[in-house]
Amino acid sequence: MSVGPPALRSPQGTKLDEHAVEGELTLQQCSVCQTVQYPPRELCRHCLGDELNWSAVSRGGDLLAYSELQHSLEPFFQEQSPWRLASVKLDCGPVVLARLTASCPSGNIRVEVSHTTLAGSCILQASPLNMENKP
Amino acid sequence: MTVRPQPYEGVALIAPVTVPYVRYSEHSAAWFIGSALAAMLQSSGLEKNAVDGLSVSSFTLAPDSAVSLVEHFGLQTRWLEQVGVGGASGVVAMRRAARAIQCGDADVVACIGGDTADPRSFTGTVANFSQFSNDAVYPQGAAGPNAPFSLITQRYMDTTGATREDFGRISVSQRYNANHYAGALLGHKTLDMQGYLDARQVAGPLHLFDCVMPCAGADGFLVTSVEKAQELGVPWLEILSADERHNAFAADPVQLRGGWELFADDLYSAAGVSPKDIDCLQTYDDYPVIVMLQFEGLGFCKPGGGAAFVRDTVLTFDGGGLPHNTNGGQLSVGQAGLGFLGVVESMRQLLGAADKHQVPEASLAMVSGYGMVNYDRGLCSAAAILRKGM
Repeated sequence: MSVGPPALRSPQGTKLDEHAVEGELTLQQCSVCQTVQYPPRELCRHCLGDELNWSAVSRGGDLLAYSELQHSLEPFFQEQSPWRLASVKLDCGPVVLARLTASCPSGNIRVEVSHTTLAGSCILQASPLNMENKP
Repeated sequence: MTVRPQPYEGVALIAPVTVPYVRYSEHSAAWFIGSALAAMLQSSGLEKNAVDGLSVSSFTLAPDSAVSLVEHFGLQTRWLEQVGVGGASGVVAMRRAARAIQCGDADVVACIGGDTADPRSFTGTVANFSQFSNDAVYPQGAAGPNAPFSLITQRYMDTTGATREDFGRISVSQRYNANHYAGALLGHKTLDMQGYLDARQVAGPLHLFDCVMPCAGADGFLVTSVEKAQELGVPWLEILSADERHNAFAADPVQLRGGWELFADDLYSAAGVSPKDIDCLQTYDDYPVIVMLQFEGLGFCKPGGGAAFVRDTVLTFDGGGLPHNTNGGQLSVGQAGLGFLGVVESMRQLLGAADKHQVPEASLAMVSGYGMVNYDRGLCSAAAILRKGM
């Protein structure tokens, strides 16, 4: 039995993966009110319209919090622990959870978020930009 | 002006029961829920056919549902509900059932939260918890609820200056309480601050004793009219006030407050009391940081003041401060059944039925619920103030 990353996705999650381009950030955007949203869903969270586009959005954001996961329920991730997890407030609106590419301190860290592929699984990763803040 | 929510006059809570928690069980959730019903009938003296309303909450009942249980238990109900707001379900089920009684839609409603557990059930629940979690949380490390809560905890520490030792005060005092409650799964083990601090790391700031242990068990109570309770000759409790909010403060980038602060003032005002009058408080303790958010949101301290509050306040059941999670809470009893633990513990305290962990002269209890981390935060907040009926 292969031990890969968890593959269960909703139809919207599958579409997110299909639109993911390595190094870019493609999220749902409402064609009426321009709200960018994440996680993906079938209606706009603001105006409830259903004309949603997959748009390349700005990748910048502020690091909200960072934590190293020592334990996973999936053997695939357990082998890679500790897993560097961050929450990021994107400039374009939503909060995303993403894997940090480098360990970094909390507070006033700008990051760039993009899609990447890990063992066939699309995930988001966040790269710290102003690491000179590191004590 | 409409008073909202309307008072809960005429409603009685009776017959708090617990089906003992176990780490794993061969039994189904239906067995736990049905055994809770049987225990309530025994406690109240009611016949099964007197129960004409049923409210159930469970994470492990699928593929069955509330109506499956009506057939399973040979009931016939005129009122039926399945409350699925995670750890807020106990308080919310109580509110819903109270309205059914007030409106005459049912005479006796059994409210039960129950779960079974096997070594795979928790992983199964977490691996398919919600669409957002499946798409945007679980693929990022698959750490279950520890992942979002480690981020919330870290942000709370960065923002307020709370330390691990502050969270430890909550876990350690709850363990002391559990040492006095025979039903607590971890009650036979003591925990001191050093033991808390030395525990293995799980996720960022979260270590072993910040995390609950999923298990099997059930808690429940009956909701009926004061007339019916008096007719039965059983002690009863009244709901002085209760309220709930869902998806409060959605624009906050990190959950550093819950919905409680939107209705806490009204809770106290409707009950005619203030936080200092509360004799015992049961919060939903999936993680200590969420307990601090409840201390803050329910007015026991100011926003961001949770750490200072636990430094200054004794939280044990017999310490004379604010008796909190007086049977050990989920952190020491175990996690099953979606927030009914706190309701049932509040009822026992007010009825003087808490045995070795009885809070002396408890006459006013507050219970709070919190639940459903659909994505990066718990969406549901609820709370109630209860008093012994007179």
